[in-house]
Amino acid sequence: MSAMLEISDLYVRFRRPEGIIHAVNGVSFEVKEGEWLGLLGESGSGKSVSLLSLLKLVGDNATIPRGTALFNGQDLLQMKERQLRTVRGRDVGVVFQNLSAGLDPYMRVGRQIMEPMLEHGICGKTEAQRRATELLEEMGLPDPKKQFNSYPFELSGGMRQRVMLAVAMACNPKLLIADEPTTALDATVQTQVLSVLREACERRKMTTVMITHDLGVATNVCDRIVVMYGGRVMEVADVDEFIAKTAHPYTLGLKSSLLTKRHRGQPLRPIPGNAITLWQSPKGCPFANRCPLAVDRCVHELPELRPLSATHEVACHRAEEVSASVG
Amino acid sequence: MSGEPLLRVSGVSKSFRVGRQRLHAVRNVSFVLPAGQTLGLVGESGSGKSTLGRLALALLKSDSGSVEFDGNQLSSLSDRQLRAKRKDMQLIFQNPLGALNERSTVGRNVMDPLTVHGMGDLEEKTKRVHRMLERVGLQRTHADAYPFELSGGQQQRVMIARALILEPKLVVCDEALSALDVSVQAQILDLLLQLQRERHLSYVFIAHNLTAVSYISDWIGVMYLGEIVELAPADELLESPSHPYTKALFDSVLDIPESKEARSELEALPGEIPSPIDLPSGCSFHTRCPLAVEKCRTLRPIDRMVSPSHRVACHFAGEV
Ligand SMILES: Nc1ncnc2c1ncn2[C@@H]1O[C@H](COP(=O)(O)OP(=O)(O)OP(=O)(O)O)[C@@H](O)[C@H]1O
Ligand SMILES: Nc1ncnc2c1ncn2[C@@H]1O[C@H](COP(=O)(O)OP(=O)(O)OP(=O)(O)O)[C@@H](O)[C@H]1O
Ligand code: SF4
Ligand SMILES: [Mg+2]
Ligand SMILES: [Mg+2]
Repeated sequence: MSAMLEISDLYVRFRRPEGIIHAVNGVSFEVKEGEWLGLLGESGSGKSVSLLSLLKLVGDNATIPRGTALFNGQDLLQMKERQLRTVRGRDVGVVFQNLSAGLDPYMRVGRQIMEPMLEHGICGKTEAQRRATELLEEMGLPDPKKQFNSYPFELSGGMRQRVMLAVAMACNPKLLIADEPTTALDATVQTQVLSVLREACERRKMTTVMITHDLGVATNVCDRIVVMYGGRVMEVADVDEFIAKTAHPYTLGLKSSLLTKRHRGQPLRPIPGNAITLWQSPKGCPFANRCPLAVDRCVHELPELRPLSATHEVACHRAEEVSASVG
Repeated sequence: MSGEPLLRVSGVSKSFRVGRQRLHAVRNVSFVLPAGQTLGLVGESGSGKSTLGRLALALLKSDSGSVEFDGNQLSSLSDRQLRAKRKDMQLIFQNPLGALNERSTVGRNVMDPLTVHGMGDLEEKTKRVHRMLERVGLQRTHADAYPFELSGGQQQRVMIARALILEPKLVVCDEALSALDVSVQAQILDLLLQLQRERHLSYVFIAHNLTAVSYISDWIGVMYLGEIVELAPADELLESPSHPYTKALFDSVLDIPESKEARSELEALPGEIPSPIDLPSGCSFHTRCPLAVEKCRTLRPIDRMVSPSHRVACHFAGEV
């Protein structure tokens, strides 16, 4: 599989009144053509910013001092706004994390799905209308002709989220970035949305990046998983290796924080402490102050991603030991 | 349910006016919560969990039915008596920053309930606040910080400190973990359990995270369109869910699979949740139920006991 998007050594900073936030600190990973990649991590780890900054979809207080992001061979970070505009929404579809950022409350939903098609000159109005109705049907909305004319507030959360998927897919993008598409939803509705999304992506052979903090979602739908913490990549693995052989103390901590039915009556083993705020780019391992395995070296020396197998990389000084103890 | 009942909710209903129509948010709900135990409430968004939580705390007035708390019929209390009772019943909800007074320090926020109920002088109150902050895993020095200076998890700890400072008997936690990271959720859950053991607290724990509810609860009630369709001891409900909706709900929880081959098929419940304004006839779940037959469309199921403490509102409960 060749890379559809190749991010190398990306840095993103935000100016804030209190100082500079070092949100992304030397991130590299690729998105392979046709795959479902999961970008996993807790709040503030830099998941959204790593991708959305490439399309200039983060605040204008952002700077990107370093990095490249090759999309089909072209560096997104070198593109002029005009060129980027043709990529955004046409070649790359985005489902936004923030529900309110996603849909216009005063516009009928059908119209909102037509919009990107008209904006990018994909087709005329009548055709856009036909395709929008088709998309609503594909997303499993009951009575799509009628829903076409409804306003977002008239729909349930799950239906609104499926409308957002339809908007993101309207121009048949090559790459879909779905930022926490099911986080706000109930379990049953989440399953419905994920299943609709997966079918629609398979039909289009669309490459998908799923940004999520939910281990259950990532492991059940993604082919490969990138784990982020403190604006760095901690671990990259094919999903089977991720399930069986994670070797980063942070990933292991995430896994042991995840509650399952099996935990009833068992003590919890949460990761101690709170996530760091990145007023500086980390000198050592960003996880060092919470890591049960940290040694002196971890505080002073930044661990780089190293391969443990052809399909598994870990950024931890003690990865081999962890890996050996996990089995 | 075993143990002394602390909270007894009987046949409670609540509807809201929406334009010219009525929205049926909670319908004929009953449960008993023994002291020192936790009832978890789960169900789809809009199923009436928060409304039920507020009815139980008498923060909302029910249309019919009754709520008995600690031996008192809440509706029969005068405003003054009710205010005094409030000391024993607290609510923690999802967005700590919205619930805390942002202009006051953390210390003042935690102290406020003591002041409202006229408990102790400043020195005494300060001592209690410091003890409480330490108990929820914060430091005394946090008393001088402002809420926005704390992380989400720390803010939620402040909310817990504020809810517990009056030593209540009942705490309703309404999506108290939802805004937090997984690792922090586990910390807070652990704290809630420790506090419960120490203080013999009772919780009504509302969450759309089913695994958190399964972890903390002694009893689980499953809500659908305003009704509790299944209620059982947590172990029993997890072991043998009997309402088709409960089954669908628990089947949709995504755990880490054993292997790639064992991943979820993502089999979704068909259709959409009906409107609480225009309720379905018969069983409210019949429009999406895989087992529905003619009887389900016309006849409302009455609760069936599938075991002495496990009740299910389905015509076929215990048969399949
Ligand atoms: N416009 C902005 N201005 C200032 N800081 C920002 C801005 N956008 C993001 N950040 C900061 O950058 C860091 C990374 O944010 P990002 O949104 O990528 O996190 P995330 O991993 O997506 O987390 P979440 O799960 O909360 O969405 C955070 O510390 C965040 O506060
Ligand atoms: N004050 C109100 N006026 C009108 N309708 C209301 C009011 N409060 C709640 N509702 C409606 O009552 C129903 C039940 O709402 P409730 O908030 O109890 O559900 P919930 O189960 O807590 O949902 P969620 O998981 O989204 O918090 C919903 O349809 C809601 O829109
Ligand atoms: S590098 Fe050190 S601190 Fe970081 S995860 Fe590995 S052992 Fe822990
Ligand atoms: Mg994000
Ligand atoms: Mg609610």
